[in-house]
Formats: sequence, C-alpha cells, structure tokens
Amino acid sequence: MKLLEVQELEIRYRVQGNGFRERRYLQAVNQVSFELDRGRTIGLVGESGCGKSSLARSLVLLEEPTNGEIRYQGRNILNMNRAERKDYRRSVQMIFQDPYGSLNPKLTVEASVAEGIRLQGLMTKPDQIQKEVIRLLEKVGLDASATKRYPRQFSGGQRQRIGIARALAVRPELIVCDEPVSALDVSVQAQVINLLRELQTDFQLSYLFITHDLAVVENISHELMVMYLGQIVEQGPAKKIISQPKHPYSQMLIASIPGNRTEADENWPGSRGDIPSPLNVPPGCPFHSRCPLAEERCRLERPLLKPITPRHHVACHLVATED
Amino acid sequence: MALLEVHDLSIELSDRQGTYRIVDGLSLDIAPGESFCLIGESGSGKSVTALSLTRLLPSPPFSYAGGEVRIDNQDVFGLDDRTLRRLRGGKVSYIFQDPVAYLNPVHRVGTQILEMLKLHRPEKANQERIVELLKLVEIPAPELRLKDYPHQMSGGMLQRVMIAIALASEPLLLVADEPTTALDVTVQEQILRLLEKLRRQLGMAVLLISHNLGVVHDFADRVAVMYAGQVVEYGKATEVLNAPQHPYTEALLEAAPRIGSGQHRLQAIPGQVPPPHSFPSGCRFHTRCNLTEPSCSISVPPLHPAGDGRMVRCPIRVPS
Repeated sequence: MKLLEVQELEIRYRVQGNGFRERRYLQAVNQVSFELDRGRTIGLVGESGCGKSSLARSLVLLEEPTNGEIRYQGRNILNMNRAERKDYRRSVQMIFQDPYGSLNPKLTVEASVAEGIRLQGLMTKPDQIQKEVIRLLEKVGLDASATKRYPRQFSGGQRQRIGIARALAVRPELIVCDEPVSALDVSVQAQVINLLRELQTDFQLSYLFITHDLAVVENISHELMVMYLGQIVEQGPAKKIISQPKHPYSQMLIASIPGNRTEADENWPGSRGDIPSPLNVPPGCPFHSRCPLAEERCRLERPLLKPITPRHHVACHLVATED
Repeated sequence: MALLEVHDLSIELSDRQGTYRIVDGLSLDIAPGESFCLIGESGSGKSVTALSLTRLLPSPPFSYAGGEVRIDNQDVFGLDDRTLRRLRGGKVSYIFQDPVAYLNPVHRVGTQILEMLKLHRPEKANQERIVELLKLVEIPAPELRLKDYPHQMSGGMLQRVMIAIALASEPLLLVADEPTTALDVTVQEQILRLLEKLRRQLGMAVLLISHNLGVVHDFADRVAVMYAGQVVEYGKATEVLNAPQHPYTEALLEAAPRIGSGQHRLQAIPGQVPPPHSFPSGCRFHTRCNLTEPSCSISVPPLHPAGDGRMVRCPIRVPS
C-alpha cells in the first residue's frame, strides 16, 4: 500500500470581485494526483502563485480541499474521526521556509521541541521528555546547551535545525518541506540538505519537497512534479525530467537556471513574459501565453496529463508518446 | 583609467557592546563599461560596501575608518553635500532586492521616473523620455503602463521600473544589490539579460552584488569574493569560478548543488558565517577551513598576487 495517494485534488478560494457582490474564484490547485512511497521523496517545483504551498497546506490539514481525495495508508484523511485525525496530525509534519517566523520567540528551544511530544501524549515524565529533546537536538546537529536558549540566539541554519527537531519529535512518517533551504546561505544550505538525507535513511521518512530551486530538487528527489498555475504540467522520475525535460515550461525553467547557460544556449530566445495572475488563468493550456511553441489548439483546449512512458507524464498537445 | 577606485576601505559599526570592523581593507577597481561582481554570504559586508561608495551609510552607527573611494576621478570623501547629492543617483545609480520597498505606493510609476529626470536631467523631463526609458527596460505598452501604480505591476515589472528610474540620470555606474533574489527563476533570467543588454548598449559599468554563484558566472567579467568583511579572492570571473584558489571560494562552489549532478552528499562547509563581534583571529576563515595550519590563527594573511590580476588571501595556497 502506498503511504500517500492524492487523487484529482482541487483547491479553490473565493475572492472579492470587482463589482458589488461579485464572486470570483481562484483555482489554486487543479486536478493534481500523485503517490508517495515510504522512504521516498517527491519534489514539487514551480514559481510563485503556482499553488505549491496550497497543496502542501492541504496535506497537513491547514487547508480544506474543494474536491478530490487524499488517502493516507489507504484512509481518506477528510473523513477521519477525531482520534484518527490526531494520529494523522502526528504522522505528517511540516518544515517551513522562514526559520525566523516559524518558531515561537517566547519559548525556549526545549519548550518548542517538547510541545508536540506533550500534546500527542507520547511521553509524560518531565525527565524523560527532557532526555528525548536532547536526543533530538543531537540528532539534528545541535548540542544539549541549546535547550534553555531562545530562537533569537541562533542563526538561520541552526533555527532550521530546531524546526526539523520539532517535526521529528512526534515520530512522523511524512514531512512536508516547504522551501526549507531557500532562506539559507549556500554553505549552510548544504548542511541542511545533507541532514534531511541522513534522517530519511535513519527513519525511513518520506518527503514532499517544495522548492523553486531545481538544483536542490535534483539532489534530493526521486520523483518530480512541475507545477504551473495550479496544474501539474510534467510528472515523473526527477533525473529524467531534469536531463530531458519534455514540457516547454520545464525546458524554460531549466534553461533559466543561472550558471546553467552553455555556449550552445547563446541563441536561446530566453524566457519570456510574466506568470499570469492565478485569478486570470489563460484558457486552453495555462502556459500558452509564454510558450514559444504555442499553436491555435493550445489557446482553445486544455491539454491533459498523459503518459509518454509508463511513469513519465506530460500535459502538452505537442509532446508525443515515446516507445 | 578606472571609473571606480576603492583603496584600502575600512568601515566600522558601533553598538553598545563595542566597535566592529565590518569591512576591512577592501580595494577594487571597475573600468568604464565593465561588469564586476561582489560575491559573499550574508554578513560578508558586500551590501555595506556598495552603500559606502556614495557615503550612503548613516553615521552613527557606521563610520569610515580609513581608505579612499574615487569615482570618475573625484574623491568621494572630499565632496561637499551638494556635489555628493548630484553623484548619488547621478553618476552612480542603485537598484535593490525588493522593488516594492523602494517605490512609493501612492504615486504612478511614470511620476516616479519623472521625479528622477527633474533632479538629474531636467532638460529631458518629459513624457517622451519616460516612454523611452520604459521601452528601454522592455515594458510592453509603455504609454499605458506609465499610468500604473506599483500595486498593479508584477515583481518583475517593478524591478524593470526601478531600473528605468536608475537609468533616467544616465549613470556611469549602476550598483545592483541582489536585484533578482526576490524574483522567480524565469523572471530572474529576463532581468539579468536585460541588465547585460543595457550595459552593452549604454556603456555603463555594473557592480552586481550576489550570493548566487550561477548569476555571477553568467554575468561578471571580474569578481571579488568576500568573507567576514574581507576580500579573500579577486580576479577574472572565469578563472576564479573555474579554478578557485582560496579554500573558501572552493568550498562555496562545492557546497552549491548543481543541476545535472544527480544525487549525492553535498560538501557542506562546517559551522556558520561568524557575526562581526566574533570574527576569529588571524585568517577569518580558519575555523571552517580544511587546510588550516597553526599559523592561520595568528596573523591575518595579506591578499597576495597570484598572476594576471588575481589576488588570493591564503598563505598556504599562494605563498608569498
């Protein structure tokens, strides 16, 4: 059985329209499906406004999907009873981008890390909890002296480690990582990525790893989804998508990575246009307004995600199935 | 002759606990029309250096502890306030990371460009010039967009407006402090291409400040790598990035994941970037360096020439 199965997930927000009482909807996530096995990482890349954070939040029950199903170990998380829901909240944890905003500044590190253990009732004796906190901090590369200090006394990289210890405290199976290294310096970023990889091996953790940085995602992910304006445009083995991207948007993303330009790319026309507002998703293929290959059909008809090999799916009218 | 010459510049920052030297003995020069990059992680002193070029740092808490800055053969520290004001935004323009913070939300973008023209190029302070500038930065339908307010534009468009404002005075040097860090990858690529095009077309020099080695690789002719307030390596971009000599430059390049390199354990640099109040003695990188020798913790190594304009601050790699 798969650890996590997401089927045709949709998230729609109601927003204020221009006119009196006018209602408009913002389709943040549109028909997203994927599966995740234990001990594996699925990467999710996309630019701002593509819906990647909405998707992440729906997995940790911070957002209610409009349509679709999220199944965890075979059970639909949307109609769980109280006890099941509490256990689900334990088994799926999240790490956030901003290590400054995601820790309570008035709690000591020990209190922050112990919070989940207490709330979930995993341990009750204070000395037992304290031991556990120290074990967790050591696991993420901090030492016992950190326990009585406050978040402001730590650097960005150390705070991100505290955030990871906090997530690990309740023994999760899946961790949703929302841009966990984007705010960190390059030298520290590598430390945190290495730590996440070690923890995955040690605890058989699964990750949904969200980022806009394709080099980071390539380093850590087994599978990859490329998202554009709420839709998955390409999905498959990470290595394959990065070495041979099929969707024009994936190609544009990869060619845009600074430092990746080679002599042969000097004639590349470059990326063009801005990402349209998610309130005004173009009809047809959402990417047609920026696509160098767009045809008449792309303006009218929305391409569906279809397999080009059994495990590699692309949503583009112009990409043919491979044999 | 160089357009910008910085010689042995030191900057100090004071707070209640004491005074810290956050930029220490920095020297660099930029030729007219050249693209130069300052590379460094947070706290390395790169933004402070950029602001100090036109004495934009507030004093206190900052103070200039020595050195010289010459722009277009004028000694910046010897200028009176009036001339200094003409230099800022005139010969030297700035763009920053977050355009939203630098544009006035209640004025149309056209008006904000006009303001700059009135100050520095009054003879050209008219609608045609505003449209021309917006065209130069590749904003579609400039006649319409100049009536927009900042909130009606996307991040990429706002950065283009910032560039248009910076170009209004026809500067000799454009200082771009992390101009694409807040932007999406595809938009970042467009802005970097635009800056490169403008540099060639207008013949202005660009000082780009970035922590992103890929950006630097695509953009710079020459680079200076900064660590904890000091330049540790200096030279042609292709040489420094392809064959780094200072252990810090080398470690930084190793630590960054690269596209197409697959899954592997990254070579992280141990420890943290030290804050100014606890810069280590001797070589400031010695606590995190894998080549360190006992002498490294005793005296600060000098920048030593390594041929072809290259300078390296490491006595082990480049012995004097």
